[in-house]
Amino acid sequence: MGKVLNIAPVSRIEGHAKIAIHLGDDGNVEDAFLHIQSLRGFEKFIEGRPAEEVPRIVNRICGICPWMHHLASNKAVDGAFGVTPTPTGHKLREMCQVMAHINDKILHFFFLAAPDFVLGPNADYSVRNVIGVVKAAPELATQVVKMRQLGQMMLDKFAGKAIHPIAGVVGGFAKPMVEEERQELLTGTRTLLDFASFALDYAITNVFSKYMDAIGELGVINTGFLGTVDRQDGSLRLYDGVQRLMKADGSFVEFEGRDYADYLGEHVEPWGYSKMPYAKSWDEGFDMTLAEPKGIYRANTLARLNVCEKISTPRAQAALEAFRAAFGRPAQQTLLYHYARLIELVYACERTIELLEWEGITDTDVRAKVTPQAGRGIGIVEAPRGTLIHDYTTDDNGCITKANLIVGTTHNIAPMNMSVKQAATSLIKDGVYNEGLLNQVEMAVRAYDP
Amino acid sequence: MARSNMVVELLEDFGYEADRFNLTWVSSAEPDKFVEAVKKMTARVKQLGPVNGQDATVA
Amino acid sequence: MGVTTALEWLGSCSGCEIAILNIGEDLVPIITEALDIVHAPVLMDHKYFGQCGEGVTLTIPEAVVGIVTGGVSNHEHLEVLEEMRAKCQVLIALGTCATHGGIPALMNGQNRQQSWEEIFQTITTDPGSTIPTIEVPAPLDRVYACDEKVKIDMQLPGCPPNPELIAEVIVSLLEGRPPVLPGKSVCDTCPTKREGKGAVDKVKRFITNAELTAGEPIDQMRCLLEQGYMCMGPVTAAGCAKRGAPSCISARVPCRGCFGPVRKDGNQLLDMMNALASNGIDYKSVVDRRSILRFSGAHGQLRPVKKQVEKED
Repeated sequence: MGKVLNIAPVSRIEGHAKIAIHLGDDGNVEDAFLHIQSLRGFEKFIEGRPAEEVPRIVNRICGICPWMHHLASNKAVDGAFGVTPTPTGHKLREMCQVMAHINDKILHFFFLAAPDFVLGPNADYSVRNVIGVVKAAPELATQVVKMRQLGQMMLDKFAGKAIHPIAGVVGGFAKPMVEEERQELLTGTRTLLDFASFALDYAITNVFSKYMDAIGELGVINTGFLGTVDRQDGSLRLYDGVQRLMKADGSFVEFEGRDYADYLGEHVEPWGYSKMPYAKSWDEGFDMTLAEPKGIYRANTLARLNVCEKISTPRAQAALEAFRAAFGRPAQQTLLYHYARLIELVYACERTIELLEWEGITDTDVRAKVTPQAGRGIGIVEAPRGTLIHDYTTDDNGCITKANLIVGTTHNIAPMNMSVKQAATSLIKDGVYNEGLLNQVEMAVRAYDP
Repeated sequence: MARSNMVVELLEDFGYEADRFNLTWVSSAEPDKFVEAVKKMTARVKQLGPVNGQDATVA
Repeated sequence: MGVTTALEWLGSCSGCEIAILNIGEDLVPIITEALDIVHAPVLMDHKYFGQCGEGVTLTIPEAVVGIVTGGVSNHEHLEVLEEMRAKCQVLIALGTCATHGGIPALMNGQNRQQSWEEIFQTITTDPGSTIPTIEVPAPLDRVYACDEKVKIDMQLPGCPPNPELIAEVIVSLLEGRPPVLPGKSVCDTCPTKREGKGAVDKVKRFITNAELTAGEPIDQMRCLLEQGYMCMGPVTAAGCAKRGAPSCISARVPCRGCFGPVRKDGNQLLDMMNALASNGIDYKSVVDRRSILRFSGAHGQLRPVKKQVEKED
């Protein structure tokens, strides 16, 4: 008689999920699932709301990446109202978005993922956490806490709220930046850039080099990738650009945000609340079979680094070149999401500095004239967890009549299921399992930072 | 009158039927009108039923 | 050994957990020395069904202090909340979802079943998709605040809650004294200039920026309600102020009520309508009045709109 192991809750992730591993009579894995446990219904309860209010409602979809929802939503409302933000409004939004990426990556790598690497996947659960890291490596931990706090408080002070922001508005930004703020933000971001470079070097030396075997095996699957790149030169973009959908063989197509529904579909399984986006335009349907997946692509850090031609900032570009030399393009190893995350951390710091150094950033013309109207707008940004799509339709009074959201994490739901199955199947044999092995299955999920 | 209109709209905002409120002007010399108004309102509330439709016990 | 503490999140977004982290460096001694965290899905790997997932009963360890975030919208949330209540001596509801329903309780203003069906019928969803029902927790009839389901010993609202106040609640508990929390409205903590309402007889949508001079301190800007914007400061509990001004106001953006009503059982929509009416401002100028309850839709305050019944005669 087989049995089911219920790993619940999946911990040190952002949402609510459980892993169910089904063992057969012989103690080998028959099947494994990642069940997404929560559904709130944002798409429906923003109906009827004045569209300009929605960016400060949908940020509550995610308390870790509220800026992403806030700004994708603002872009969608811009589109529906037919307004183009002023250049300064546009750049202030991008600055906040990229800065939010900095904090997110520090949080994920050091607070959520690091315990597995610093203390080891088999350490006891009572110490295998950020508190254990603080005790095991107090100097590093203190530095990490300080840096994360610096980033959060910079954003909080300039934009009023770092969590569930309100400063992005349809047409641009709610307040201009003054020179004093600019200087303070520049000083802070330069400190963060130094830390980011240190963090990348630290991880390459102390983590990735030690876990090369695991990187080559754990949760490895073969899929396509989705990300956003610059329209002209194909370089990595987080706030604005063209979407690039790559197949596992490296060939790709590009599409504009407004055409997203021609390229992406959402599959629904009866055993999880999250929809599973897939590449509809590949015309091969949806299939999560490990040997021959169909329609499956991944998003988030590794995907973005795989699809881009280059990174426009020097330190991150150098890191990307080393990464590609070691792992090729596209790289499929799931644990490399962590490596890619730290390269993006460096980029996010460099890009924030670039934006702050732009002479127009302190211009006072931060918001374009806005008239609520009927229309449709599609706003896309790259959230830490993947390409985030908000699609709104409004009525004559500028209130929402219809909304469709594809949230970053959901792109990776099908791939995470595949990685869970791959990890469970290769780790659990003949009925032998223990806490450490089961934690490694969770590590395959954690890499995606869901 | 303005205030009674506001009551009606707020009742709807809170998810109650606007028909649960009614304002009738009756002078002290119009007993029949009073009786009629009370009968009508009573019948209407009976038809509407209990207000706590959404607060049913957990399924 | 520190005071044993369990953290749980129900229907939440993790913003409250990030707010806890935003306590910053002061958090390090709290989580390493003052508290002994025994369960916290966001930070550590204690599991409900045993570390190898073989158990059948959802179990959380006993703890002196329990902190729950998020509202109660499905049977799993309810089970977790009841287990937290059973195992924790002092149970704190943290964040507006836990105390008043928060943004997810906007669903209480909709027909939930129909809404959920439509969510699985969008333009990108595969045709024929239906609401998942296998291995996922079944929904409750609506979204509840925690105190509608179990006894809560302390409530700390905010979306997100203010890190300083979270620290104050934890420290006061450890010191065995009542916490010092602000008890008034957002307006009482707002430094903007008030000159009287003047000619304002309607409120306007926030589609133009506030009148302000770049770089000028916040106390030089005129009150946003007096500038004619719908600002919910008068009917919202204080607590968000950092650096001398309410958070949103410091970004020159009007308040939307994220700390819930001033009194725990207050009603932000009624209170706001009162505030507008008593100042001669036309309540009809508020577009989408129901969204004034966007943070406090639990406790039966936000319900689906009832259609007008046919007249009987």
